[in-house]
Amino acid sequence: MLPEDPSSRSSAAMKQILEQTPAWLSGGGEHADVVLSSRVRLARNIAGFRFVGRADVQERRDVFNLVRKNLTKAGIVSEDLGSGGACWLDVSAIDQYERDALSERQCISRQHAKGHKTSANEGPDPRAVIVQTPSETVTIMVNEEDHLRLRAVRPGLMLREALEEINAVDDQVESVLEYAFSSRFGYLTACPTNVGTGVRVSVMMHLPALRVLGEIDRVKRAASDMSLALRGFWGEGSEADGDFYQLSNQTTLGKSEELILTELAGTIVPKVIEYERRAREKLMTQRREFTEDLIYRALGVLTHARRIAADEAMSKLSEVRLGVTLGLLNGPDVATVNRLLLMVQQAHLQHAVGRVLDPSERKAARATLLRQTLS
Amino acid sequence: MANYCDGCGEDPVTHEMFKDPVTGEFVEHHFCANCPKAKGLIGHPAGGEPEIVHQVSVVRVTSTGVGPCPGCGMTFAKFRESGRLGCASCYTHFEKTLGPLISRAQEGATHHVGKLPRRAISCANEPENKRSLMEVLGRAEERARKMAALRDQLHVALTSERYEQAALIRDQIEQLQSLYELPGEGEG
Repeated sequence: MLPEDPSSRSSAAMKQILEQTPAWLSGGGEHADVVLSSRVRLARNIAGFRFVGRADVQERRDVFNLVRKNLTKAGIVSEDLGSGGACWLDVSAIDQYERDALSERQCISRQHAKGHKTSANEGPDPRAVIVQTPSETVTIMVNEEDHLRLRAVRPGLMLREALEEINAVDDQVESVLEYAFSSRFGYLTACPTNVGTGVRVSVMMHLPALRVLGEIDRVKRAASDMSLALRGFWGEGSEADGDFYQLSNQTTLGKSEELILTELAGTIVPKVIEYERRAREKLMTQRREFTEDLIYRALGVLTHARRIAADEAMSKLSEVRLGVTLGLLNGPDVATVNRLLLMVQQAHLQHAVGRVLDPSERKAARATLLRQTLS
Repeated sequence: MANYCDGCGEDPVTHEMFKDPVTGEFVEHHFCANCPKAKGLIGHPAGGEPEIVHQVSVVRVTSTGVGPCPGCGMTFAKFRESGRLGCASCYTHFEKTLGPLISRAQEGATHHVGKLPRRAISCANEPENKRSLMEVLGRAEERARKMAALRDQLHVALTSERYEQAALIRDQIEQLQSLYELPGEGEG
């Protein structure tokens, strides 16, 4: 339950995080018209402890304490928020809406926001997230499915930089914690689909023109032919709210991290970028009036609606983002649209207003926020 | 234990594990020996008509023949149910049965060839760390298999003219070779 004044009970770190915009939403980076962000995550477990799903609460608490102690000692976690380092957030100690906000910002998974079940006498599920501030470029989830899930995210197509960054953090962590590793299977993970490198390389793409022209299935087929996964990003399950899709590797064993990255970044990603750009060109040359109508209607709804649901807001923001990248709209800029994609989400909206909102109030508050920002 | 074949309803003689291409979860299916549905027709766990989701080569898994994992008490049946292992020891304890399942989910890969824990490598020249280096690099047979797998990958990359990937694989081979030649690694 959200308190009357959420900021009064929020930890200082949470407050600081919610006031800033993650760097990956800056609208920068290569191919930013199509690629929203690039992400690399590593799954790691600590030797000598059972995996999270099998460990009891006490063992998970031991992992929690060990990670916090060793990473603080190594300077990976900083106690001083002003120093621009990484802060430790005890996920079970913050409010539910703050957990949801961290999930909306992609700092933690939905599963991590929810936590593992514990009985009344066991206390809350010991789990944490380390967030690099103010950029949120690096995050480390503690006690999610694996003891550690390290992730680096960059704006635009910057996979190599993200891999280098997370590798450096991984080396630092490994200097103070011994990882579960086998010569045959590599880094050992709770789910065998992550074993080996433990790496998941993903690119978040904005594909509105392919959707408008009904060609998104072409991308899905191309991804599936290459054993890659295409999922919705923001939105439930595989639904793609706002035409944002996540393209990632499926296999983790038998190939080096660099090879996995190259297979994704060097083959399918440029192809999808090209498909989307061609579709956008087609919209501009063959269906200009239709496209202008679509985009101005979207802007009209966002700047005039008095009540708007999250999925409609995402869909209209996606069309406005398309209009901006096509040069049909002079404003807002891509960074503002990206920021709004986050701000219209439920937890962020409630934080902005400062209180719990029922679904009807949320629609009104969302419409107000959009009008004020875009008008 | 399942009693009937998921395909034709006859008594099953096999247990099958499949990776669900949508969720990445391991899904259990049961097929009898000659059921046509075992060759590529896998019903989606959400129900409905069976659909072709993944062409698979059928590997028959009957029983692991081993008891619970000594590290965490996890049984193989429990793993089949959840798709999650309990601890690092599960990988060694269930290796015989788990190996083919992992290989199938990982497009035929059997051995890790990527990053190695830096700590073991950077301390390689210190005698007391020889054991951990051995644990990281594996014994002779395992090393040979990794090298063979990398050379296969290199061959495929070169014949399909993917030169950037070929260069990465060559780097990997060179890195492993130099590690295998470290002092005191003769027995590996």
